[in-house]
Amino acid sequence: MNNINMDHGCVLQVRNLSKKFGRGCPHCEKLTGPEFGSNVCPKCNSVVALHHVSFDLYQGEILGVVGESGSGKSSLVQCLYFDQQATSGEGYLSYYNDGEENIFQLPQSKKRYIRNHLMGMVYQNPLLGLRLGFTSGGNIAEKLLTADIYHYETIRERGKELLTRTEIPEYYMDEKPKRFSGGMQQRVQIAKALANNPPILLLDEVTTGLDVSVQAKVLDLIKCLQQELNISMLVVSHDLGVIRLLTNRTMVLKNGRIVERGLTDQILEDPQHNYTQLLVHSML
Amino acid sequence: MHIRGGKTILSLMDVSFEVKKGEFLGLTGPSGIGKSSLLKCIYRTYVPTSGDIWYTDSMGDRVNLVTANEHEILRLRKYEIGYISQFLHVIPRVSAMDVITGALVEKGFDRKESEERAKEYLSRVGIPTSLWEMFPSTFSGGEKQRLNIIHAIISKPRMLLLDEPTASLDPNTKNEVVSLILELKKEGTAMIGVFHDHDTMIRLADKQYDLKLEKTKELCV
Repeated sequence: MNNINMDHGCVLQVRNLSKKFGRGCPHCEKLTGPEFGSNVCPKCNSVVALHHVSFDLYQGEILGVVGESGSGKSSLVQCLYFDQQATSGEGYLSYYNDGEENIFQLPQSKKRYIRNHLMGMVYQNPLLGLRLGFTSGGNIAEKLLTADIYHYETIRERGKELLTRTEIPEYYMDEKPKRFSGGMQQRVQIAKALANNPPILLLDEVTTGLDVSVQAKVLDLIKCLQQELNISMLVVSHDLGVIRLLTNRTMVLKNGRIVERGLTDQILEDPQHNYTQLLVHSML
Repeated sequence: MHIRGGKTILSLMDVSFEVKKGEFLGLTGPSGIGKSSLLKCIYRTYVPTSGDIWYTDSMGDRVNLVTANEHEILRLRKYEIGYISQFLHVIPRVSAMDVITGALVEKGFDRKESEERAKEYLSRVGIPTSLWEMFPSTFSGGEKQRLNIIHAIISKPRMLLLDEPTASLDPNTKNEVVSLILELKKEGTAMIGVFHDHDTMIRLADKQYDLKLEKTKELCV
């Protein structure tokens, strides 16, 4: 039995996760990858978004994922959040059935349970994570309802608490996020993702497209949440500055493969792989 | 050893030394000889090509910092090993006070207590009260450097690595910083430091390790 090793505080263990778009052929894995500079199979035109990605996420740590556009960063978090069906691979979650079952092979209802109770996701685009036509309070309530909390007063209280946390004035609770600025929408989205107290939070390019002052606020918020709530986070970004400030460990993705992993400062100051060196030396 | 742009830079060869509890080892040698690289190897920011670095942790276990897994290193960095770099990296728009308090809070200290201690240290290195709630990015070089120093020593690490911490300080604040470091040393912290200015080195160091020039050479591959 490939059980998760919880003695060391590992909360999520992913082994050989692969994701392929297209029908696929026996040559896909052999003819794509960093050495070919592409993740499109020349024989069948399938896209190998992820190939044999393995990692461990520990309690309270922030793990960074960097890579250029199309390297598979978003596919990775989307597979973990079950937005996309993983092609193959194993995942064990210490909070689910003590890590006894492969989460990628659970039936839909169980996957929904994990999504609603154990994970939070913040998308780059607030449109994906929020219903802009509902009030911010309504958005938070939606997440709480899916986590089986039905008591009106409780929901209301929790909503207030979360909005205060993410520094959104309370009177915005009954406003629709469609009228908010991008930074505020992003913070409402974080509030929504945190609503059910998830032990794992997935953040996909959360600060991309925000202006620098708002970006600073969002980064500070994420760091504080990690310190105070001890949540484990997976932070996906192409911005090495963000990665440096937030994460302890980082993995570098290229063409769907992990080419290097290590302590964040080691990756940034003493990169071993050619691609990582290129990436780091392109930093402004 | 350390590779950059196809060029292999052999920075350090056969370095061996020992530091005991409460002892300060100064590293000397001309610029570019690898003093900072050595500190970074100990902190695992650089991956050493070969060799062992043995560290005895607070539980008395010996850990090889070269081969220890990342989580072990992160644990040691969090609770035992401090590093004062030449530059300060903090999240923008977080006040100086919060930066220093945060250094303690993330190690599990109570927030109230952390704030008290942060105030004490900030005033000791002579950062005016008016700056406490300001963002460090607006600080002068010397102020940033002092912030950097107290950020690393406030949690009283068991081992401290110092990379020219007093480079941009005026004599008075330098004295204050030196006395802070000496105090910490007296409490038993082992230290390894690089200083350009000889006087400071003499005031702090118990012994010196000279990285002689002959031991380094540059190779083109």
